[in-house]
Parts: sequence; structure tokens; C-alpha cells
Amino acid sequence: MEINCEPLDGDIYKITLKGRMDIPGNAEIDVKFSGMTASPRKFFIVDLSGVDFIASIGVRTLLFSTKAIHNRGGKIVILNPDSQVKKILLMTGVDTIIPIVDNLESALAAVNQEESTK
Amino acid sequence: MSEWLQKICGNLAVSESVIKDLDLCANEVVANIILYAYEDHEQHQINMRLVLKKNQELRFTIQDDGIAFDPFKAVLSESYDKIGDVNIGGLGIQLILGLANECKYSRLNGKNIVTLCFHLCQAPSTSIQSENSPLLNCSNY
Repeated sequence: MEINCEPLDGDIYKITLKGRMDIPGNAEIDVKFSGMTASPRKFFIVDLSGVDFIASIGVRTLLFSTKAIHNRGGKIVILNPDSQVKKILLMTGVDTIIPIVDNLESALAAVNQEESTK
Repeated sequence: MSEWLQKICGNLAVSESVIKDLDLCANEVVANIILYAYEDHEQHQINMRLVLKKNQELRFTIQDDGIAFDPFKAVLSESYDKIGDVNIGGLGIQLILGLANECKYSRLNGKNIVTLCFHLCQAPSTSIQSENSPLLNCSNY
């Protein structure tokens, strides 16, 4: 898997993942992803448009980091997952914890809405 | 394994959506076997079989010689309304139960046998749920 992190204006990081989030793929990015989401920044947009497969281990990675982010008073948003990945996220109830949006504008709006309430 | 499934299913003209569902279920079952089925460090064999029945039922069987374990009796994750309540265990089983049309477990001659069936004649699964209530279409054997 590939993972890239891009700082955006404000207190926001955009993390882009590519590849299969199965056991071997997830092992390649798990530590980096946890490290990035443990940064001092509070708000994270995770672009999953390049992820074409997610297994439960990938869902776990997202949820563990989300828990850490929320504990710091931050927020995480999932951006543009492909249809199969979105299906899995909905089936596991991830959408009840992490907002899922289809475009960057919506992701920024979700994060900025959170920031404005601080 | 995923490449093997893709190749066989491609030859059987199985839809991409079902292939992905099957791929995910196979990953979850095999991951459980590797992580939990063995108490030694010896080599073991996991056998997989994929059959397309005449009634358009795709039947996937996974057999291992690990300790007896019925994955479909495992406790499912409870719903999580708050992040602090997240109970991350059981997600894989929850996914299998939601994606496969039938899930069966049996123990025979010291081996665990998990059988997953996918009905190809049905419309693509509409079991996309925003709540944590997986389709409990599992019959334990």
C-alpha cells in the first residue's frame, strides 16, 4: 500500500491511501497511519479513493486512530471511498463514527464546521 | 489467494461485485485461522474449494486442522454509538455474515469446515446498512 500526507490550510492533514487494505497491505501502512494521526494536528481527511479493497483489519486501523483523534478533541472524515469499500464501511457501522463524504469541499466543510464549534 | 479467486471466478463469469465479496470473506476466514487456529508452530495446510453449482450457487469451502472453532458462534460486535464504546473485535465475522447468503460450520475428522454460499441469481446484495445489524442469515451446523 501507499500512504501520503499533505498539510492543508488550518489544522488539517489530508492522508491519502492507495492499494488493498488486507492483512499484508495494512501492515505496510498501519504504523505510518497511526503516527500521522497522532500528530499535533487535530483534523484529518482520509482519502480512500485509491483503496479498492478493505478487510476488517483495515477497518480496525481506521477505528483505532479515530479513537485517538477523538480523545484529543479532533475529528476525522473519510473522503470518496469506492463503492465496495463504502459498502464495507456502512456494514460495519463506521459511518456512525466517521463521516463519509464524496468530495473534498464536503470534507473541508465537515472539518471546518467542527473547528468553528471549538 | 485473492489472485486465485479472481482467476477462477473470472473463468466462471462471476460478477466483480460477488468476486469482491467472496475475496473479503475468504480473507477474513483465513486470517482467523492463521491467527487463532493453531497452538503450535508447525506447518499446516488450509484447503480451499470453490464450486459453481447448477443452481447458480457459488459454494466456497475452507478446511483447516486447527483447534475446533465455530466462527459463527463468536460474539458479534455490539453497536457503537460513541467512539469510547468501540469494540473492534468480531468485525470480520460480522462482514462474512452480512455478505454471504449462507454460512455453515462443521467439525469432521478433526477438521474445521467453513462453507460460504453466494447466490449468483439474486440481485446484488442490498444489505448496505448504516446500523450495526448484520444480516443474521447464518445457520450453524
